[in-house]
Amino acid sequence: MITFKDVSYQYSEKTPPVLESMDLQIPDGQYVALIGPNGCGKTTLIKHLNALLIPSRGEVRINGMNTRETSCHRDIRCVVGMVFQNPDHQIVGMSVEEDVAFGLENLAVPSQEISPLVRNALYRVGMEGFEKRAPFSLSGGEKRLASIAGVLIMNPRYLALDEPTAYLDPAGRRRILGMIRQLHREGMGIIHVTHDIGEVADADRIIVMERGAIIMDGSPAEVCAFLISRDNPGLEAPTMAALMAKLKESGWDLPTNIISVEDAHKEIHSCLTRTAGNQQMEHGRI
Amino acid sequence: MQNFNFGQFTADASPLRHVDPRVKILAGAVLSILIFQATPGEIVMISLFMGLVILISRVSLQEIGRALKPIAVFAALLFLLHLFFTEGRDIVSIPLLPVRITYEGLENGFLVVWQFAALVTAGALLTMTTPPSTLVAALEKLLRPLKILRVPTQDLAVMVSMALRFVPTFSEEYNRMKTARIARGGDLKGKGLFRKLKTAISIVVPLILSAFRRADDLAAAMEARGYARGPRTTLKELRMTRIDFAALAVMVSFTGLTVMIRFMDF
Repeated sequence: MITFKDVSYQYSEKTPPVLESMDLQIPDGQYVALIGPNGCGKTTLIKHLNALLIPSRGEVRINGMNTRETSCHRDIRCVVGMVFQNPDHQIVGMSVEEDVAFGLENLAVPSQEISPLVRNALYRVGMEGFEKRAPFSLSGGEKRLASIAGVLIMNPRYLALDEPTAYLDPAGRRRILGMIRQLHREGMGIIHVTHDIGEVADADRIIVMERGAIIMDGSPAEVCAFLISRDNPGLEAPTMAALMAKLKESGWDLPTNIISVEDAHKEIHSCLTRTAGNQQMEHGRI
Repeated sequence: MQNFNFGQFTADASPLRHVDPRVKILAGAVLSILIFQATPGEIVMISLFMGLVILISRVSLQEIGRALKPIAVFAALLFLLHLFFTEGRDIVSIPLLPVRITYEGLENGFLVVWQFAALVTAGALLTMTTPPSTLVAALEKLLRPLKILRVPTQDLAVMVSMALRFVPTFSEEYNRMKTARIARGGDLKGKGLFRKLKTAISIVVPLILSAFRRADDLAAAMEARGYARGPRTTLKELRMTRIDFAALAVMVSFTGLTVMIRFMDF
């Protein structure tokens, strides 16, 4: 369990707080998405999960361990794995296998045990055979997967990802999102920071942040309805929800809390079927 | 910068790749001493030995040439300085001008240029035939005795490893910045020292700033993956094999032979 209790954070005394009196609980195995405009404190929040930042006020506990206690930091970093926004800034090895092995080297795992674990981590992200490749020769999506493998090798219970699909083409995005869903199915807790609510339609819960505070915390459908009802320049309602709202304005009997194309298709199809049925009944009466 | 290959591992198929990097570093250090102490007679011997090593390493002469290219101007300058400013027996002397070329100047000029080229070649051979990670692991092992003096040898090794890791990244970033300047109508081939300096500053300053930003992010990423002071292991453990002992024996024999020849000369 991850617990935030009255957490506030300020980068310096001269600047306003980036996080303000935040209370939050994330149970094991939950898929949580964090959305919000730039500068709302999403990245600052997830850096607290890994004890990279320590709250200015309040406390963060990871499986009961207080992030203020430096003696717990290594254990905390084994519980929550962190994947940064730009993989170029976090790859430390000169080959993919060296980079993936970095975490285990830091945990002083015996050398002979590292190689099979590296192969397994690369297999889990679908990158077997990339061991000897230089990281800078990989595509954006491959670099991202290699970074995820470098974190997975430490066997964390939670994975915090900061905009994992940024700068990727559609194929790369699909691959990364598929990977995240797979890890969640395997029981891993996911904390996924994104600007695009459309890519977290499968999340158990979406948290909307604004100016360092949580303004909405609910299921994807609830958050979608919240965004439709609210005019916010920093956040956009999902495209499908906006389409459904427009159709509703034109007289269609449709819900507006829809995120995925599949759900939108299902709703429009059933609406059309209902309308066709009603028309047939009216013809029959005439 | 795209053609800069010194310090980069390029010869994956080289038989020297399988020699323990500790042996190669020690051999390089001994060879450097021999190069600095070389007499004209030893120059031939060391050159032949290095030629043989290049042949065995299967590193092409083109690649060696590319490693030597950046030092060509500096080496030429050193040669001319020795040629014109060394006292001795005249070869050419122009009475009206203070220009004298002496036998000693010519000899010293050749010696210095050879020493410089031989050192760079030895260094290039070491880095071209050794994956950077094993090179760093070897450095860490060789520096380990310094731990008694509380020198943080593991941190030093990680530092060297990071520096090597970022050579291609910064090369890529440099090229990106250069392209961005050209795309905005910047003239990179302008003549004149002042203009060249201005162009260099306009690229180097953002490059340094970006390096600091990257260092910050990288430090956070390393910390997030459990990097801290304390015991660490490495993916590859270095172990001496028969090939390494053979290579060591060859180096010891060659050094012994060189020393013996010098002793006999006396």
